[in-house]
Amino acid sequence: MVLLSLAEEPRHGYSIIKDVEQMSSGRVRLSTGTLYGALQRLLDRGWIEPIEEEESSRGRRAYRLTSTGRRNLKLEFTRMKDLTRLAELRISRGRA
Amino acid sequence: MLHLYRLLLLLYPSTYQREFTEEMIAVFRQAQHDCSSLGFMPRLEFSIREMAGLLAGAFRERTEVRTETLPGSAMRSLLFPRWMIVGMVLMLVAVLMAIETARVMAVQGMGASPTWGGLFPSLVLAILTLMSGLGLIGYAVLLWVRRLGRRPFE
Repeated sequence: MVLLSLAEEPRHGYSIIKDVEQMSSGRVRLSTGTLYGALQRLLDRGWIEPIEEEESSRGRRAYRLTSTGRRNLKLEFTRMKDLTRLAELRISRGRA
Repeated sequence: MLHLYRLLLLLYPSTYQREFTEEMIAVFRQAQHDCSSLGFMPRLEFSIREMAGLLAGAFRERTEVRTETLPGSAMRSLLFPRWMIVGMVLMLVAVLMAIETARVMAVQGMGASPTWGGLFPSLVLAILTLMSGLGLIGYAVLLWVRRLGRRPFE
């Protein structure tokens, strides 16, 4: 969900928390510890990168997807679409 | 609350602290500010979520680093100091008690004073005992291996 939040535009930490909460209709509320653990893993994998803003401190550092991150997000999206299609097929077969 | 947050951030590895501490505090302050206008229960939920998130995050960061194949000297520099392990266990107990307190208060009403029986259900106590036991056994094995003159992480 963090990757999905960054897919549209670069975001700061708090903006990601709010966006994930909004996307999940309030079901997923990330703590800062959880968020930055996820951000660090994504940074390590090279899926996201920080945007260093000259006038801002580290407290307002934003992150954006890299091309690798975007590719992996698309792969994950394709996998989920296939799974959804399969689930729909099986459920409809079960009803018949 | 912010003081406790800063204190818990010390549980993270130093490299992580250098990279994210300032940013995490800024985000936490912003979230805390937004939460300040809400009622007691949402604020309590926010506090518990943040503290539990930090404890879980610190544990994850420490254990993930330890499983990597680093040279022995580098590995030892990343291990938890003993006081930190004791501190983490105490904080975990405090967080569990806070969660149970909130649950009991929600069930009994805000005016009721929760009992110890309600605060610490036997299942939580059993899990805590089991985890502490496993930790002690693991620590004893490491000590035993070290006394044999072997260094498993090198």
